[in-house]
Amino acid sequence: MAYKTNPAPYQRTKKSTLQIMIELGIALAIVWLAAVITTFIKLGSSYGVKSILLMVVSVAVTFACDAINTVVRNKKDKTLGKKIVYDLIHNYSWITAMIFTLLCPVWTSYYVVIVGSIFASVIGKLVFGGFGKNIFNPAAMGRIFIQLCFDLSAPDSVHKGLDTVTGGTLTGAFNSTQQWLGSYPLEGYSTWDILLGNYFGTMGETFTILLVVLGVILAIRGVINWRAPVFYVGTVAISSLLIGLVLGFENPLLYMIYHLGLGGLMFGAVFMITDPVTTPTSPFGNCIVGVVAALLTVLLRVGTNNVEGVVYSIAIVNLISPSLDIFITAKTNKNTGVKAGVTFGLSALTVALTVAMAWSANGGREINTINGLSRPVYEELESYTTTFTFMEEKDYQFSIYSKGDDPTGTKGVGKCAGAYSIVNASLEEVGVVYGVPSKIYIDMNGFELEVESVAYVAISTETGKVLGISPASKGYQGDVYGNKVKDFLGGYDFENNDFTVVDVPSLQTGASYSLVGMQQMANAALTIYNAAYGK
Amino acid sequence: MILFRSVGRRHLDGHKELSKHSEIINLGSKKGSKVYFPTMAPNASAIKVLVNPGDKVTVGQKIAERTDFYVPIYSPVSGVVLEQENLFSTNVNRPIKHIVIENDGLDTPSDPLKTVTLDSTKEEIFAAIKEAGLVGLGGAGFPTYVKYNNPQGIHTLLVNGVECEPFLTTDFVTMQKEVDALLNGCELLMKASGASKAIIAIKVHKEEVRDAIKAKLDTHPNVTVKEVPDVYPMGWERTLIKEVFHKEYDRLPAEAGVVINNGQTVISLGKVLLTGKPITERTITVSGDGIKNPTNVVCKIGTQAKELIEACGGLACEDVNLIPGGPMCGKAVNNDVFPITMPMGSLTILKVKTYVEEPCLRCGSCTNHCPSGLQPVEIRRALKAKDYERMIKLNVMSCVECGMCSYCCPSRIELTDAMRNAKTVTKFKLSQMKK
Repeated sequence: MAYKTNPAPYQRTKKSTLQIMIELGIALAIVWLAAVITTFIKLGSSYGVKSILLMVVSVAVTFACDAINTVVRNKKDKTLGKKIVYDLIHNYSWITAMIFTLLCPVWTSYYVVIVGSIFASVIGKLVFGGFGKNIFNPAAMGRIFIQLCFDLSAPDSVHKGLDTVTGGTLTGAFNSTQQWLGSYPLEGYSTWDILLGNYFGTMGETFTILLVVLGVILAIRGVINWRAPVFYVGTVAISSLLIGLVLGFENPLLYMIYHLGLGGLMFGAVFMITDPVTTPTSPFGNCIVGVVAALLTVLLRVGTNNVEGVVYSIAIVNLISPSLDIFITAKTNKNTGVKAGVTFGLSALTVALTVAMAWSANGGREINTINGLSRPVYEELESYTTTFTFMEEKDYQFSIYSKGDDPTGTKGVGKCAGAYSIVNASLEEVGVVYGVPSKIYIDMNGFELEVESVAYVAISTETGKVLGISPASKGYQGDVYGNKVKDFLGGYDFENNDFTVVDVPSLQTGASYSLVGMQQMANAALTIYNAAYGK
Repeated sequence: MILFRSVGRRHLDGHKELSKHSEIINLGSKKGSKVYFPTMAPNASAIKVLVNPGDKVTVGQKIAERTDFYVPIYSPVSGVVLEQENLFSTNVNRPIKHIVIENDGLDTPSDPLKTVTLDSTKEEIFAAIKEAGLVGLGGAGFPTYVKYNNPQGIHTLLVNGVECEPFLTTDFVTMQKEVDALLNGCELLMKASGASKAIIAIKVHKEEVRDAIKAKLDTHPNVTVKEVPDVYPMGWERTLIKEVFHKEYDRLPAEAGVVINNGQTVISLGKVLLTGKPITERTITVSGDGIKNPTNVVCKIGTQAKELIEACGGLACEDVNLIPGGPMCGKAVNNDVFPITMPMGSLTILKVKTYVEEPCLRCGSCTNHCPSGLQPVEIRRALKAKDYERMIKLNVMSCVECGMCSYCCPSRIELTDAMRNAKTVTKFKLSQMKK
């Protein structure tokens, strides 16, 4: 019989760190399950199996890193075996691995996932001293590393199962076609597809509604701190809605849904910005972090046209978290008015800044649509009509010029009396000329692809009909898609049909082409041509 | 707004059912038993002993007196004073001299104190409270009369019957049993403080107490019962006043126009002031999973803890934590010979649980639940870094050691211990800075 004097208090909560992490792991597993099922249905069993194996590989690699770390740090310990097992469970590397894997698209190579997992685990976490001591979110570190080092765009084999061809993911498509500044419906995807996750992205990011539900459950169960995500998502939502309203988008609400549903924002809000280790401890600090992350996300998306706005912004706010912890020393239950003022003030500032940024990125112009084209694109088209010559030749020859005076020397294969050109000569020019291009779709006889707003259109000056469209541009994915179109059109009888294919080998564009887009392009060109030449 | 503010409270598993309805054991007054009185008050000030070994004392005879505040200590038994003994005292957490009185079992009463009636004046009541030698029975043991020393601008008397510590049921059983004394005490204290109304705060789910009080409220129109949420630390003055009045204050509750007293203190006052018999015994909860028959025990003040443990059937297992007080605020002691003091509300006896500490995951649970609005996680880091200025900046001295941070910590970090250490070093630093 003995009276022990271990430290007070003598009653403790049942909730342990292990339990918190297991609940988080279950939530991640649910997202993963959804991803696996979706992959099996949409891309078939080989990718379905890969979606399972990627996770297994990533977890195994981080476990290996942990084990080696423990061995190196406790070389002479006699209970090394026990220590390794303890560390494997209590370093919570499996959470890191799960988050990291869900941040990768399913077509990521195994070696990329292995390299990313090692980076996330070793550089992101273990060099700092393991769980609880890392500065950056390890999974975000891994993701940024592979983003910078490897090409994560989808391979051809995936394209066959996809409608989207640009960049591989829908977020990439939205990024490269509308530059995060447009509310044109993404071809083939309804709003519900985006909310429910019926599109391709990284494995975990697509299931917006599922993620919201999981986030609410986790917050109620006290697993995650709800303040940062609430301010994060809230500020992004208000920012994007206001950008949509101020810039006069057709559908500001859809624009907001794109911002919330694409690019893994919800995944970041539920699983990454809530990482307790790398965010502040005080309630006020968490509010601030949410707002700052929102600012960075929208700025990175709108200002620099970046797909990975979420991961980058979370990594950057991880940097300011320690400072916030140092600055916030006042009592946490006092001066709530001041704190609310600061947070909402920051929020308002964020919204103002992002709207201004969007405005300037958009050239300060009002966007609306003419003939299915956004106004800037239309205006650009119109300006080109005056630059390019329509050659009045009866033998249907035509030439195409790039923007400068230098003719590219391209010769028409078809028979055209004139050429209507919409040209961009280089990648930079895509950005400059079509600063805010909408995604344009061309549909030729049911064959669907989506394109940038770049094409050569040949219009007969006699009949006023479109004679040829040049989809081909060399370099970047131009070859692939150009040739696809060419192959498809190659079988056409030009005498009886209105279309021809022009090969433009010397032009470099960042565009990819689709027949849907070309149809629209042709229509637009026709409209402009008719307006200009009165046919 | 809750968005920016920490929560500062949390529901705990109360374990009240262990002793709530158990039969109360009365140890009575046995011949040959001894009672002990420490010669140091809880704030380590000395207590002047007025009796010598060999003296005969009667029940209610003044045997000692505190030196900082005037608090007389009355003998709860009649008998002979023995030589002083060194015993562990919970007042100062170390062995000190104790006055020892051997009970002769006769309970010879001495002359009663000056009594008051419900119609007495404010000054008469104040004098009687002072003479009664009452200290707060809720646990801290602050002399009751000090609060009534010419208070200004008091509008409400708040009776704290919340009892938010787990396992404790003394307030529950006594408030239920002695409603008349409680209400009389309320009337007297309202008069003494100049308050126009009294609010008795009890937790929800204490229907028995609520109904017992409400049944007798007809004759006391200025007294109301207020039910407060079952969260910890609801019984702390600041939390309770914030809950009931939505007011915060800087130093003393009087700034919010409230005077606050523990329910048992009010009951004792109601009895002592009207009868003139000093308080000689109190009800103590002996509970926890380390004792065989958890229940409430009525015993003479000064009885040794081991007698109570024996009365409750002894320990249930080998290694236990014996905590004078509740499991949250209390601190386990390494012996069972210490005597029961007047403010001690319970003996909590728990099976020893050991926890494996994990690295801090910086979840902020401790910050979010600290009732004082502190950031224990940051204070612990500052303590590790020996950054005293930062500890002062983080208001470490506002810590009340309620135990909430350690309770909440999912990584089982001994935060309350760290907070105690931080307070000690900061106190030292502050005293150095003054010089």
